[in-house]
Amino acid sequence: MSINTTNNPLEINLGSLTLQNPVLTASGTFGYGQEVADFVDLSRLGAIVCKTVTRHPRAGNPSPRTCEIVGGMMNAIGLQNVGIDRFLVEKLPFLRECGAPLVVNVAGETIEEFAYLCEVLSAQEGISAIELNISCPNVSHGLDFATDPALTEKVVNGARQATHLPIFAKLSPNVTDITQIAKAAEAGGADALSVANTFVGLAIDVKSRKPRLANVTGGVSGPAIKPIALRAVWRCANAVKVPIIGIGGICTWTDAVEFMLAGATAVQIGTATFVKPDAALEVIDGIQNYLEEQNVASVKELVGAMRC
Amino acid sequence: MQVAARKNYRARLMESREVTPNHFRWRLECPEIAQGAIPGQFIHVLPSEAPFSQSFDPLLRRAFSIMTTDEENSFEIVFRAMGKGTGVLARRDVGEYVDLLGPLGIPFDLELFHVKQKTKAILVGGGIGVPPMVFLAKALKAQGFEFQPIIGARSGNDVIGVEEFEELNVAPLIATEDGTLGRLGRVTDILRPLLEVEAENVAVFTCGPLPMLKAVAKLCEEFDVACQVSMEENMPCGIGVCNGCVIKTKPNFRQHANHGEVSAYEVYRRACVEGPVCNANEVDWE
Repeated sequence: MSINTTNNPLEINLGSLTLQNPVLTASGTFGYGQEVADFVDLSRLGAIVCKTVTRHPRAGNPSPRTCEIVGGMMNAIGLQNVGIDRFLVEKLPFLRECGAPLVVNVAGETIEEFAYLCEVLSAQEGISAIELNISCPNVSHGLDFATDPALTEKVVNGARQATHLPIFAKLSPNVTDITQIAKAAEAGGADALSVANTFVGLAIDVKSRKPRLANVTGGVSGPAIKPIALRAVWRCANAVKVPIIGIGGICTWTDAVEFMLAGATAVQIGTATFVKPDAALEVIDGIQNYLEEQNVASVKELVGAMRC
Repeated sequence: MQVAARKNYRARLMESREVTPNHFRWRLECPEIAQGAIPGQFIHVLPSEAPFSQSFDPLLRRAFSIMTTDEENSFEIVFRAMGKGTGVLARRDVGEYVDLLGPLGIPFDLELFHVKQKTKAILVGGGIGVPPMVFLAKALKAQGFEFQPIIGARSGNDVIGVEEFEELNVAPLIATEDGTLGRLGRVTDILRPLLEVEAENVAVFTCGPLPMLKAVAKLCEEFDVACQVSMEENMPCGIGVCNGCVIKTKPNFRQHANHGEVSAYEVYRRACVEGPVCNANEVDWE
């Protein structure tokens, strides 16, 4: 266990990156920060992971793109975004100044595109890390790197060669054995692993007999997936040495602490932000109270501290 | 009128009344929204009374257009109890606090009157799409513009807003699909003859189910009448972060605002922040 060098009990490290607390926003659930600024003091966040940026602008999928399920929701947005060129002009200036460290989430259709995006972002100021979205379930081709260990290692390594910034690899839970992918991402040079993306699901309207999403399938998120994501984090944490960022249905501070006890160094808040824009801040406050109540000096002591 | 800042409020439920079967009219105490909301804007409501951390089903917020405000302390909405979320809301008690985001969205644009020199508005509300038309009628009256409401519903029991329009001294024209109130038929059966008489002078504003919006938009296109629609989509976040509630735009409205080039990104716009009100001629209705 590393020793805290400051008086901040919430401080954590993800590779060379030091964050004031372990609570980040999940990509695709926090826009580019500006949309949420009316509701949230952004400077209190551990970091903002912004919506996926691609090489070219993307229209995204037809409507309906979302539906609610019991204890969660499904989405098939299809990575609608303005593309890297407009991101740098329209989105980055605000994110750079908003007071929270910025993690830019990128997706490429090829290994070269991932590397290109990393290279472009490396030339910019005010970016703390890059998260590789190698696991979006809602696009038809090219982005399924995270179902293949060899491809995962290659794409992460390509990014590694292209940037000095810390790299998070965001893994897919829709695989036979996520630890194989986790090891591949680590071998490729990832500084941390984001575990995991949404689970692919299907919902059907029985009256019309049509799928409830225009894309037919979509990613399931929210409280409904929490136990499955938690297990994935626990398994990955036991398989690799790099830190894990836990993601999957985290709505409350108790959820976040569970993920840390299972082995996550940090967490990302996703669907909960749709319901309460300031959900991440409540999680931060809750973790802080928990540390005081449990007389724990540093949140780092929670990581992997589940008692079996 | 000043646009109020979007915030997360806890508003006290002052009145809850079942105005027709399964249609609930709420008065909520929230001075900021009462004073700052503009017709066409909406609120995004957490169904359960329990804090979010203790209630995950139903999970997401529900969006409701604002129907009236007293411009001081409170505002009203009407919703139909039809599913899990609205079912929970229907059982909420007066005195409870309601967690809501608001006021949200792009409102109706009355500049249309000044720019295009229109003198009269036709307000077409279908079913639970009537409430924002009431709010708009109030604003039009205050600015001295003439208006004619048209209400469409499946059945007489689903017709809301009649007394609200009558309070503004205008009798709404009504069409129901089963003929139990007003004339048998659809809102377009009433709208068409009106446009035949005075298309040059009018602008149309509408809110309701998608097939109705599409029919009204087509009719307005036929008569070359300016038309604004308030779109309804599944809206998980309501604040522009999830990109879930998108509306498809026509190709000639996909120019990137600053650079002028046609962009793939502009194919879809978010109903919650770039809508819900849109110019009907910008929407791809196919």
